[in-house]
Amino acid sequence: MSETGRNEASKNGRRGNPIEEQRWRLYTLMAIVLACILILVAKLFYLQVVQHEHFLSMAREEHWRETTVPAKRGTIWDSKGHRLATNVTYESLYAVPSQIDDPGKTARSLSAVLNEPAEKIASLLSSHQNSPVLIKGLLDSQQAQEIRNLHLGNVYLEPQFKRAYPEGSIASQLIGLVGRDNVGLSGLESEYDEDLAGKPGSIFAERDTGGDEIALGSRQSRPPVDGLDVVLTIDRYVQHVVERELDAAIRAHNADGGTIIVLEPTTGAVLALANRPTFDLNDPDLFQPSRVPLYRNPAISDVWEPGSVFKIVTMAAGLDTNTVTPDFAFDNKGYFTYGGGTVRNVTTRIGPETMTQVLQRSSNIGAAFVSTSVGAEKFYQYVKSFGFGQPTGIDLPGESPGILRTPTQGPWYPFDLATNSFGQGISVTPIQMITAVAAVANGGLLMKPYVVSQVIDKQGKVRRYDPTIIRQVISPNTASALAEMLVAVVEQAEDGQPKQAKVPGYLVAGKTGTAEIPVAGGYKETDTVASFVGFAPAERPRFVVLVKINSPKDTPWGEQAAAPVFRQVAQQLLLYYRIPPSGTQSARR
Amino acid sequence: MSPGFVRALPIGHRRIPKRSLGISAIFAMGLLLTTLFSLLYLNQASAVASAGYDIKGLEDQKTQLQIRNEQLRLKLGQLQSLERIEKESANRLNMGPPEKLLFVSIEASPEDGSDAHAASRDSIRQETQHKNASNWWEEFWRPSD
Repeated sequence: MSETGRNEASKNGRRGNPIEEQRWRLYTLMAIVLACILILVAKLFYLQVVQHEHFLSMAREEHWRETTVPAKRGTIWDSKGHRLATNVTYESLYAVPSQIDDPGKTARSLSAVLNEPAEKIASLLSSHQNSPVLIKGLLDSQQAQEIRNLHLGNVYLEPQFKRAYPEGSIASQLIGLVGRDNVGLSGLESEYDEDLAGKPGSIFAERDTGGDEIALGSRQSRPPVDGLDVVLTIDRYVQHVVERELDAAIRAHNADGGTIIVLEPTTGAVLALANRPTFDLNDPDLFQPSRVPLYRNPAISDVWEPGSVFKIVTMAAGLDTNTVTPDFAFDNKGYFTYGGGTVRNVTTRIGPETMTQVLQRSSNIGAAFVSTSVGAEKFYQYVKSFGFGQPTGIDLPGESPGILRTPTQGPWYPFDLATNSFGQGISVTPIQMITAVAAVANGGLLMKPYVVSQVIDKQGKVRRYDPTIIRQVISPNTASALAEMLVAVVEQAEDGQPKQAKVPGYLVAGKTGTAEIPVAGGYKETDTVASFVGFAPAERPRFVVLVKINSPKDTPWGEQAAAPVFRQVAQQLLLYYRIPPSGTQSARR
Repeated sequence: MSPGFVRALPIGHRRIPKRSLGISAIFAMGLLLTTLFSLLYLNQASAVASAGYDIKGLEDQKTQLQIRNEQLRLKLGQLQSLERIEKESANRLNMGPPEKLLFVSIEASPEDGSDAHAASRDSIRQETQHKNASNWWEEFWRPSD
């Protein structure tokens, strides 16, 4: 049979068996349906099993929304109950441009309330974007209410916290900065961040299609725990006085900067602490690298060679070891040679010099005589005992331990014993220096400086920080004798000139310092750091003040640049604390 | 039986069918009750939803008042700040630092004064305690002055 004949026969055969033909069709259809079912099952398996978590989370996101409820940051109070830093809620206005039907009309309505040009608002609303845009941030409650009264659809008011400073920008480096994420970045805000920040809460609730919470829907909420309040030892009045006088001194002497600290000697409580230059708490610019150094606190983190104010420590060591007495006189030859070096005074004086005169004349030779007479081992024991070479432990971040070289620590040369006695070759922080002098004012008892006195939670539960005694550095008799010598420094002018730190009617104890600024290979030719540290009233010290003026341009001397600032501050504080004038004669007795 | 023939039963023997709750009656009752309960539930649900939105509104109002309160407190703090007080006293009230200070010593020491205050406080406290202790019964029987 030919090929054509076979095909013909086959066709005739199928045609001839219709049941067979239907079965084939049925099988084909069944196969297609089965394939479709298999595809559907596979897709279903993919969606329901493989992609289970993905779609579950999508469904959750659609119907459920978790909203974080930020915790309110705690308030920072001064010791008299005034707010220095607090949290204030404002509302910010947002809109989703794609949801605004008539941007021009909406912009005109908002323009009158926001005091912004309608064109500016309209340009924001005409962008057709689907994400919210900020129209204006930090609206006050009145503006927010006026916007609510406009009953505009598709504009939203979102609450927003802002750190506010009712007293203005005082104690800025002490208080420190808070980032937008409610995290303390510097100062007390950083040191006490765990207490101040609180813990954010959350609301997990069913939402309707508009994104609003369904009233009868399921809801799980965890309330936020607001931050604790922190009470400082800082007194806003003392701080205000200190900042005003520091600004005035820097202007008057065209200085590069400065520091003033006021401390309560009996407790170690810091009553005021100010540095210049500083930054404005209300307008910090965190994105400008040149401003970053301003956020540090030089009073605790910057070191300087203290110069003659350190003679207080040297004399304390001499008196306490009975090496010298206030009336003990040594023979000043106009120079002092020790350890391969020679010490000279600024003004040459030859002849016997009592220890009181050593302080009055700020004699480097006399100080070197005392330290070398005491001996290296005992001298550095006293220096360490006064707290130098180690952090004071003040409750502020970034404290420096200073730089102290001793026969057993670091590269030390015998001549260092002589130069260290008048504050050269040793670097200290302002807080270390004032803490040491406060020990003299406190009968030889060294107290730990602190700035936070209490932490209070919202239920009124108080965590107190009591004054901490570190150690008895010198005996009360030594402290008393040294205080009298320091009174003589301020009261009895050797050259007949009135001393700048003297406060009329009161007995004041203190010592000036004029320190050269070390640079590589020596000291700066021109600039100095002028300082004064003293306490008043000397017979019963209420406060210790340290004044440090960096690079005054009109005078290099502590007596001219720093001592008058001490007087200005002390005068106002004596009046503020209502301390009556002391009869000079009786008080000295 | 041929069609059209009706056998009349004597009246006295007529059977009266027993009246009982049929399945349809029970169904009707059930439907009625379900409807009632549904209406009641709907009413309650609606009331709760309405109350929920009212509460939400009041919570929003409370939040707004708290915000206003915080902002007013800040304004109060700013008005009481030393910087403003100094500026106001110098510029508006023409005040300045005192030129002369006078300290006046008084006879009574602060300790005496505090003792006097303490005595006065004690007497007030005792009087208050006495008042609190006496109840209406004692008051009633107390002879009038």
